[in-house]
Amino acid sequence: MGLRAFLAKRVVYSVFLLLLVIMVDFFLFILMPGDPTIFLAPIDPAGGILSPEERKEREEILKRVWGYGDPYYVQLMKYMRNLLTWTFGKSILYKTDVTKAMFWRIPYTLLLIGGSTIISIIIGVILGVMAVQKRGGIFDSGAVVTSLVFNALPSFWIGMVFLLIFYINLGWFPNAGAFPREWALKGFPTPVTITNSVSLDGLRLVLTLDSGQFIKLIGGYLRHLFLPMATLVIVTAGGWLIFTRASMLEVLGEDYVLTAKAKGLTERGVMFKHVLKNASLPIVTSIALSFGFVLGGALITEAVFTYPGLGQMTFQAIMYRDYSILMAFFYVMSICVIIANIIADLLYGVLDPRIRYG
Amino acid sequence: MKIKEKQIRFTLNRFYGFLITFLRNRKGIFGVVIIIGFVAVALLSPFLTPYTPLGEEPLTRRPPAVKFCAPSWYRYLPEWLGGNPKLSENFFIVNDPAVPKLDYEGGEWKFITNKVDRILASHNAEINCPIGDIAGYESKNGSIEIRYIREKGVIPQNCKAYLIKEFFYPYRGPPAELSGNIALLVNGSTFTVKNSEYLDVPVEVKVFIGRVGGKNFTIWPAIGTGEMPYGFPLVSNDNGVDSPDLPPLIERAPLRGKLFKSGMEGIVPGIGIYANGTGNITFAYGIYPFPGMDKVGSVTITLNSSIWDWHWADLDLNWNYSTLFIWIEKIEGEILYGYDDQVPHDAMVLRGGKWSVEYNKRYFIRVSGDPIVSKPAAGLEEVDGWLLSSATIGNPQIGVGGISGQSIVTAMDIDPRENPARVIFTEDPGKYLLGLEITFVDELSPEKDVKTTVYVDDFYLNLFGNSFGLMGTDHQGRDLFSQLIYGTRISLYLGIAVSVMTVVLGLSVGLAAGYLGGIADELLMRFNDLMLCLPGLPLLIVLAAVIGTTIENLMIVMVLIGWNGFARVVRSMALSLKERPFVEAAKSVGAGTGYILWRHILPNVMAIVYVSLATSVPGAVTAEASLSWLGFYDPTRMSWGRMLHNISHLGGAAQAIVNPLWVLAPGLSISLLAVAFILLGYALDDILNPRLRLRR
Repeated sequence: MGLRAFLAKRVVYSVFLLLLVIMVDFFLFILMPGDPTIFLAPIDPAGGILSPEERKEREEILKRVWGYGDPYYVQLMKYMRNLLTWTFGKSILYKTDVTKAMFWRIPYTLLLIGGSTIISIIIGVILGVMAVQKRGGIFDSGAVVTSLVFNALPSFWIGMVFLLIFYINLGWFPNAGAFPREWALKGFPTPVTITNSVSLDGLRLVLTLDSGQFIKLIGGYLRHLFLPMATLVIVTAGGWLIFTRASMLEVLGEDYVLTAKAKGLTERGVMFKHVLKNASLPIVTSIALSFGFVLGGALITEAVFTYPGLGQMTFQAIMYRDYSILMAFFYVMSICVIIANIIADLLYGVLDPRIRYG
Repeated sequence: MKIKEKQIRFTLNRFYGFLITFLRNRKGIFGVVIIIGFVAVALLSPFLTPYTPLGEEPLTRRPPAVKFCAPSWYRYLPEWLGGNPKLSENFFIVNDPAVPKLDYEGGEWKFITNKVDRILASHNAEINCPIGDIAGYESKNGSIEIRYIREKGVIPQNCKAYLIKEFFYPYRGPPAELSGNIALLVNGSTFTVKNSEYLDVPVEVKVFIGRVGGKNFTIWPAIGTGEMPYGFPLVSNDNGVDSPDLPPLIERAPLRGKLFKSGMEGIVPGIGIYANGTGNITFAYGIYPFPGMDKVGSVTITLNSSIWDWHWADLDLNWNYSTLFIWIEKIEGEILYGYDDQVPHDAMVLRGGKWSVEYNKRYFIRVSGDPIVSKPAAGLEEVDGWLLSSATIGNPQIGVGGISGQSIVTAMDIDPRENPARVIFTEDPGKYLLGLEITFVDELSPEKDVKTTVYVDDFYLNLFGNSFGLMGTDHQGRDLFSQLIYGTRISLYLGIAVSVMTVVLGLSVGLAAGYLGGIADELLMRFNDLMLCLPGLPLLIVLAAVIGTTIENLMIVMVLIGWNGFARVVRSMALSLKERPFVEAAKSVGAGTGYILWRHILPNVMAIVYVSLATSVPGAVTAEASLSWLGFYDPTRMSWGRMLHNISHLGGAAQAIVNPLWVLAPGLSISLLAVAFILLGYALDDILNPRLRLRR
């Protein structure tokens, strides 16, 4: 049998799962109790009241693209067609294509959440290994308790406290946006400029790399990224630490570790050659799974820091009742998670030679 | 009997042994102590703070101070820690305004006049303004009576009298807001011109406040601004002519109704008003309660009758709103409403469906010559002749707020661009006085005896400071400390309820799936995969936004999203337990499924159950806090998340500097509660988890 058959089976299952998920999404949005005209005329404080033109626009989009008001099976057909062919039309909130609105925000979210996930994984795993090496001691219990405490803190509150200390009181970091506001007015620093130069030999293109501008560009982004990333890392690194430590402790109890120690391997040898290799399996699959949540992850953090990523877009779409964006977002999220799951399963098969598919 | 006793003793012993082990675990003790502390705070909250859960005074249901107050002990903090010695607290100048007495009668008011032969003052225990005013003072019997008597033949002359209260203002900073009230009744001998009667000796009244030895500022009568109702006129004779100070014969106070819809049910909604006069009343309706903003539509009723009657207009509403505000946009012509000569009426009713109406009515009808009549809100006695005037002295542009229900007026001799409190009160503590100046305008011929009596009741001025309480106040003037205390209840209630429901649901489904397998198993696994694919927090928000944000709805939504994680764990445990020899042995003896589940599987799963009960609570508490912070809070309850929402969306950076406790305290409470439950869960895990016990 082997890998290929397993992969095929998994992909087929995932396709069915995806179909199931989008049907559930559809039913959630259509059959939910509550005000039926909620997508036509939001009345919550953020939505406000719509002018008749806005309302007409909304009605038109909902009718044409999603079949609002038609019988349920027609709506379902239109919905499936939209999702599977990726036609979402215009977004009411942003007045541009849904696709465009989403895609230019994806890099920001990837940078923020991907970056903080990577950093917190690195910190968590390294500290977790250290904690296991010195297990039973004060570093171990201290690390565990600290991780537990930080994991329990509400992330938006940590964000607010950081803003209070670092933005309001000290002024080191800004509080909103992904890049300094003046760049939007005066232009971004351009580290790479291409100029023409005409000489006796002919026309030449000169590429200039300005390192000063480069530092400014990167610095600007980093300055805006620092606080949200710090918030996310603080809250999630502890989880990785505990997970690493727990999975390594489980492996430590196995008999072959005892044998290795009896053979006379150094502590370090045991740790890295036997324990870590075997413990890394659940950790790696967990990493793969967590990347499935990268795009949908930090709605709260993006709201606290007004960071223009996917989370903030989703939040505004919910408040503004922008149906198209919400459908697109849930769809993309489901696809990401399903793909991440497939990859995690594959990794599991690749890394663990004991597993045979069949 | 004996067996039962032995069983009970055995269980108690086991529990005792568990307790001993637990108490040796430091983390566990710490967690339990903190949890007990929170539970104690939640149960004892009415004793810890005198305010209601929303931080308001229990009797008046209004905030106890102005908005954005700092904590009162900040006055004593050194400056580098954030303290501010120039903070002021609430100071109520008059101690007993309901029963005012003069100083020689044992009271607090000094009476001064230069015409002692004509003007006398005393306490009158019978005559009394029957309305307890809106600041919550009871209307008890008694007023001060100031009599002017001039006999025939004596030369008429304008005479002044003063009623003064001296007080010592102890704070080094001015108050944030001045708010006061006065009730006056004027009686006297009258002369008749045409069909109206006029006072022989009208009075002019002024309320002033000032530093002893310094300048006195008139704070009433005052000028109002914009379209808010205020502008309380002088009690005076106007000779039948409309004077610019006095309100015309047309209602000024806006009549506003707020509708809570519950289904239109085929009845056309409409407004009815009980009115009399000639002219047009235009009602506007909209979503926001600020007249003039976001008007959705309007309807005009034309009146042309001199008989008090009901007049109706239909409202053109073609969508469903949960709240709709209706107010009077303009009145053209001469119209009176809500009151006829015999019987006061509800001025406005609404027709159609199940609407409930709440309106505030406070309006003045001026009939020339007679003293001003003030009609109080429905349910209170009709006042005959008393002028009741209640206002907040401030600067409407700065937006004096916090004490709702009162109109804002500007003091007369203070530049309207300045904050009157800062002009009146300087930075030194000192003696001030609050006074009422009454001028008897005696200009008629001396042919007859004249007399005029002024009764003064419910006269007070409250100085609201800019610091209050242990933690200050929020954007509406409500006490933050009491919000923190009562938030404990919400968090504990929600956290424990969600945790218990999640565990119960997860346990049942997990056991069924793991032990019985088959359809239950398949369904559980597919549902779990499904839930993994849906983004958690956005889903929670969408559900909360649509279903509604009461706390029970939030609990249900959280349980629906969270139960399958636990169910998966239970399922895997049940799967492994299923293969154990004792289960096989039980089956071979003929035990049924239920028996095996109850006696064999369940007790072995209880370890995870207890741990999960403890560790699910922080997740629920934090999720509720996140949802509330985003704006999806239960409007009838105040939780910690809602406090954080207020500071970040309604308070702003300025408030965070002035009162950082507002940011820190709720967050620390959430964190502490979460940490306590996690420590408890971890301690339980250490003790109960068989794998850890063996493998350590």
